[in-house]
Amino acid sequence: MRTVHAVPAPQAPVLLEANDVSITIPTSGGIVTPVDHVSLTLRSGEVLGIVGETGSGKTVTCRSLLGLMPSAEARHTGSVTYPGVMDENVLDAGRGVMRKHWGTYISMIPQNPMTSLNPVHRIGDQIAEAIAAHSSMPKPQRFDRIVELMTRVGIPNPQKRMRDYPHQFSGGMLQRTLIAIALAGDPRVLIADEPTTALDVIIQDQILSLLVELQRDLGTSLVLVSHDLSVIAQVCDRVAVMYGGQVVELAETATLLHTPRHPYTNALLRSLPGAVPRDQPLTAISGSPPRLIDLPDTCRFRPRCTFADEGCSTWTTQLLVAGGASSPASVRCRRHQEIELQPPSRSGQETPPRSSLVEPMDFWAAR
Amino acid sequence: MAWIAIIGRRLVQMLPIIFGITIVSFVLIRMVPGDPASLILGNHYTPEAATQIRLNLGLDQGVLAQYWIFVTNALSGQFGHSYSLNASVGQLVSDGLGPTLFLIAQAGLFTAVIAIPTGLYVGLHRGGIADQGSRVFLLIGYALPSFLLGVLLILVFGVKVPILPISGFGEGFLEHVQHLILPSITIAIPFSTVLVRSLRASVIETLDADYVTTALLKGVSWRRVVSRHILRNAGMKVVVVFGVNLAFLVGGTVVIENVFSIPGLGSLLVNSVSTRDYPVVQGLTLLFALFVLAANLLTDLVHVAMDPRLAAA
Repeated sequence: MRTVHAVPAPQAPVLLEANDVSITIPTSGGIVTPVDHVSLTLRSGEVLGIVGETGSGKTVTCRSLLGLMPSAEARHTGSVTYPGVMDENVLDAGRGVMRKHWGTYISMIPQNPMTSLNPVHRIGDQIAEAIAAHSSMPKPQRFDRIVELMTRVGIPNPQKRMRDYPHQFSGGMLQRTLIAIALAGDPRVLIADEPTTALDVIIQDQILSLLVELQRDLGTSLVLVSHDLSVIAQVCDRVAVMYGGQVVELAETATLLHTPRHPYTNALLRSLPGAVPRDQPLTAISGSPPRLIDLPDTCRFRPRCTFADEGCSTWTTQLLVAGGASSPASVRCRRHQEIELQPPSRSGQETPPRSSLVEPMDFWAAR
Repeated sequence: MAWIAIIGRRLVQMLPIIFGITIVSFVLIRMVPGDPASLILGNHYTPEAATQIRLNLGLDQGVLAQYWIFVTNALSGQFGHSYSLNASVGQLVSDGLGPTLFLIAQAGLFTAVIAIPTGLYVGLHRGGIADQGSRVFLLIGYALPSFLLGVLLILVFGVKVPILPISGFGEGFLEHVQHLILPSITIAIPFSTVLVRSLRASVIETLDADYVTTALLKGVSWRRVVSRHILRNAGMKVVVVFGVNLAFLVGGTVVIENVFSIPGLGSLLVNSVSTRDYPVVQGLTLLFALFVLAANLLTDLVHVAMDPRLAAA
């Protein structure tokens, strides 16, 4: 699954811009903040990774990019815009407005393919619905388009399989179907929310390869959400690391892997079998991630951080600019310049990362 | 092929149930105190005459022998003669079947017309004014006894504002419909509260389904998402509730038919029980039970037709 794709020029037009997005949900137990002042940009042709533990706000963040709120009670501040296409705030726009952009400008590949297709409609009909949503092509042409899409995503025997119902498909085939649905309107932006989590390891690799191949061939921009840093490392141009609803570090993939600036990123790398040389021990991050209820303004990683000092308990966090003009990065750590992080060394590197059983990959070689 | 197998399997499963029903219906009416002979004779009662009548009706034979006669006759389609009415059970049932089926069909239709839009709307607008307000009406509609509701409707639409007939069945299709409006409403109101609740819950659950998000993100209209994905899937569960309750309506019509003097099976049943008309009661009990079974079978088939996952099993 080695992929060497062109890194988009920095001048490539911005397709999606999230500006200081916060989402809060009032509950009886307190205010939950799954997304806390998140800013992201996605350029044309770029693959942006969002990595973080379960409960770090990845899913809510990427659904907000489509204008989907976690519940009717959820409140938001900040804005998401699609520059040049929709300057109105996506978070404020209703279903009626968003409908014009869903499928044609931005599509989502869901986390759980098993529950994401309607069990009572045929596979072909569900793809046809996505085609018909934005074009009124006559039936024979629509049929050809279904076959074309199913072939494109690697579903064998499409003329026959399109008459099947979802329960007759395997998880991998369902995810391929959902990718076909996402692609039906030729969108410019794809949001893939942990697209391989629900699949078994071998299928994960196939689906990921398919996604990367499609992204490259179609020139689509991709936001790839994962809790697996080795997946992100293989595929993405830039990575946002999320912790406790916040982006704690945002940098180009190579920069992030070689010179992590946030203690959390560093700790993640040191716990990754593929990144740590075989003769060095893996280090677990002690403690557990914060619950997203009534969080303080101070650093959320502090209780688990080995570099924290007294100043950290009073510092109101903010994203600080780090790195030079050649490799810009932002990091949410007040001590990022003083502390000396020790990322896993690449010397003696020979272990393939966990996620690539089919085609072992040198974790560092692609970069 | 799958269909034939499903129907065949269900029919075979029904046989022991039907056998059980014949025993229950046979035993129950005989456990009720009261002697048919003395009820038939009334003021002309003499012990000799009573013995003669019992002899004629076959009531002098042992219970097992009577049951055997009942079952063998039933298998050949004979349910005997009524004791009190001068007609065969088959004749009485076929006379009453029309009004009763008509009433059930019209009540079922009214229920669907009330419940589907209401349940869908309050489910889609959970917590809204309609949702909050409908709860009060649901509770009242559910708690109000149907005979009271029937009498109230008669009072309002038959006496105060006499615009609708309040009793009988009329002649011809249009008159039938007209005569059954009030009885159907009486049945439909409590029945639809059950359906509104279940459809509302089902719609709310379906709204959160991942496939609804998928459909929405295709960019299709909300109306289409609602009809093709939300109502279609939520309806699947509600069809079962509808079918099961429709079967129980047969029993419910007994009261309604008496309130509105409809010459259906319900009125016939009440009459026959009070005169200890064993053959009629037995025949009707069996028929009602068969109706429940048929309604269940039909419900299952509709459910299978709506859910492709069941057709494969």
